[in-house]
Amino acid sequence: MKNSAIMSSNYTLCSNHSTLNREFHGVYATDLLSAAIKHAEHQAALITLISHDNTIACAMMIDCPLVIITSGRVVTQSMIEQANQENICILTTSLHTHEVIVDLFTRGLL
Amino acid sequence: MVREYQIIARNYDLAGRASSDIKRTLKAMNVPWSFQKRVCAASYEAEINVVIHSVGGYATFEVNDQAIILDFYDDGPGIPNIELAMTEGFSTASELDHANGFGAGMGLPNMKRSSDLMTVTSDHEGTHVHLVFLRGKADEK
Repeated sequence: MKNSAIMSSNYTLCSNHSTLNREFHGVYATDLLSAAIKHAEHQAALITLISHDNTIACAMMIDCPLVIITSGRVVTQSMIEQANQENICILTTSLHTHEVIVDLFTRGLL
Repeated sequence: MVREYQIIARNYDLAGRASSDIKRTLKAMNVPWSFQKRVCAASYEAEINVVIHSVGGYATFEVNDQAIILDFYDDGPGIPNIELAMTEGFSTASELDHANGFGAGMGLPNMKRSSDLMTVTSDHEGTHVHLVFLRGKADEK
């Protein structure tokens, strides 16, 4: 499914518009980057409130095409630049992690 | 091919730089994803451990026909009890580490699980983590 399918009034795109064209396959939600590295499936979207350069480094490591930063956490310019360089989409939302999952499920995206 | 990377203690902004380069290299080599994931998972955990727990160190990344070999060296203070450190969930990480998504006590266990051979030696002068990933195993075929 294309990253763009997730876009709604609840989500704000931080990375380049072209990153919306990548596809994700399933999601993995965690606030422990070690857990994401260990468990996330290939091309899964990462849902987390950890907003840091390391989140993008971790996403790059597991070929994650989409990172959703939850709970209104602020995304730095450094993260955005890194994400654009790796063609990783960053979305931010004021929803909490569990609310994102419910939202995606109720919209038939999971 | 052997590459070397400096790892700076407590510098979260540069943490993962070595592993990112290793990932790019493996991707360029067309190594299967599951193999890339094993190597990168272990590499990232080891690199973060040096950032979080040591006064700094370096890593080497070697590729040969038989294996991919990673070595992480730091300059201390060392791991007082390696057996305890290998226990999943055991952590001496700080609140700052947790806030950055690390320090869950999964580092060394993840490295062991991901690699084909792992040795850890440590004293007060430093720690050496040696990781081997055998090529030609099922996940690289």
